[in-house]
Order: sequence, then C-alpha cells, then structure tokens
Amino acid sequence: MARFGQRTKINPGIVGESSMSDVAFLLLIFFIVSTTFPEIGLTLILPSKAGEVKEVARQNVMQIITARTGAYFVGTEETPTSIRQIKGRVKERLTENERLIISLESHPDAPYGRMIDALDEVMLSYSELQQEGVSRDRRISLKMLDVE
Amino acid sequence: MELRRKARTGAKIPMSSMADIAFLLIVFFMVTTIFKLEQGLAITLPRSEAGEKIPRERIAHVWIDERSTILIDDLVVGLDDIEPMVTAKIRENPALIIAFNTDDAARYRVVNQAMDRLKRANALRVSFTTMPEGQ
Repeated sequence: MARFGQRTKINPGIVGESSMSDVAFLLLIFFIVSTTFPEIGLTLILPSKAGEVKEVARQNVMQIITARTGAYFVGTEETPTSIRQIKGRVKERLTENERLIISLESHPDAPYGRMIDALDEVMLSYSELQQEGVSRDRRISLKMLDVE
Repeated sequence: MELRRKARTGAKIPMSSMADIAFLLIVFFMVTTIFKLEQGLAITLPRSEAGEKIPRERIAHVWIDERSTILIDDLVVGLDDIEPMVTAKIRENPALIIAFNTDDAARYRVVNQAMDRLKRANALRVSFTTMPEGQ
C-alpha cells in the first residue's frame, strides 16, 4: 500500500542560467545603440552676406587681435595681453557698455587654435557675467586682418 | 539472474560559462577592431571651457587639417566646392549647423575662406568643435 505523506521528492532548486547571456547581450546592445557621445563646440551665427553693413561707433567695439605668433593684442595697444587677462578685460568692458561688440581679428597665418582660445575666453566672460546678473547679448564678430 | 541496470544519466551541458566565452569573444573583437575614422584627417581639436553641446542630428561637419585639406562629411573638397555642397545641404535642412572640426595648428586664413563660402551659401549657424578642457 502506498503510504502517502512519505513522498520525498527533493527539488534540487536549479535556476536556469542559460539565458543569462541573452540578457547580458540585450543590455549590451541596448547601451551600445543608445549611447551617443556629445559633440561640444562654440556656436556662433555668422552675419549674412546680403545684410547691410552697419557703421558702429569705435567706442562700442573691443578688438582682440591674434597675431601671427599667437600673441594677443587688445585694440591698438603695443604690448601683448596674456590669455589669462582677456576674460577680466572683456568682462570689465562689457559691464561698462551694454552695446559692446567683441571683434576677434586674426592674422591670416595665426594658428586657428589661438583664435579659438580667445573666443573661448570671450564666451566664458559672457556666461560668467550672466551668472553675476549682468546679461548681455553675444555680439561677437570674427574677422581676418588685411595684411596683403 | 539478470540484473538490469536502470541508470539513466541525463545529458546536460553546463551552459553557465557560455556567457564567459561570449564576452571573451566580444572583448577580443573590440580590442582587435580598428574603426574606420570618419574624417580620415588627423586633427587635434582646440580645447575650450565654454563649449556647448550641439544637437547631433543637425550637424554637417567641415574638417580642416593642418595642411589645409578640407573635407565635408567624408568627402575631400576644394574651396570652391563648399558653396554648392552646403547650399544643397541647407535646402534639405534649413536649421543645419556647420561644425568646424579644425586642427589647432591650422592657419586662420583657411577657416576664414571657408566661412566666407558658408556665408554665400547662407549657412550662418556655425560651431567650432572643441575638446572639453581637461580631457
């Protein structure tokens, strides 16, 4: 006679592991597909070729000149300005004058990277001023010096 | 008397190390694969602190290397090809941003000439791609 209650069926508790790899691959592929590396840049809007040429008062323009050697000159000054001083000077002028246009002028043979360094400092000045509660429109102009 | 052995051995292959093998293969292929570079130009981007993120789907890339070679989205172009190419691109997507990926040591002259052509093509949104500071 069968004795009930004495059935000892041991369940060996196995968790299916074979689909672990499927799950891992699914996650891997999901992250590969969804990851995008952000591209970072300094954005500007160029003036349109068709637009009229406006005359601007000289005191409303701050020239930052990148020389052939990569040195910076502000306005008509004879002594170069170091890259570290640019931000302070730009901020000072911008606080005084809300219509200020920053004109970044470069020698044709100036290294592009040096111009970008100056542009970076100018951009930083605008955002730092914004944080200090002084908001100014970004009025930046890029120009190549006429040397030939 | 005949003894019959009733030994049933379930044929089981351990699958748990499958994942290890697969990962090993992945890592091997990841390490050995060399990606084709989009630009084909060796460029050291300038660095910036004030760089902003640019929406990827609206970008057309202009690459300029140290020796003034110009590429637009993988094609080597001359200065005079810039205007028609960009005009066509702008027609497709008027909100296009032209991202300049220019070598740190390139001459400003080339960038200026390229920007001039962009102005003619009415592509006025530009961005100078940089590397974030300290990377």
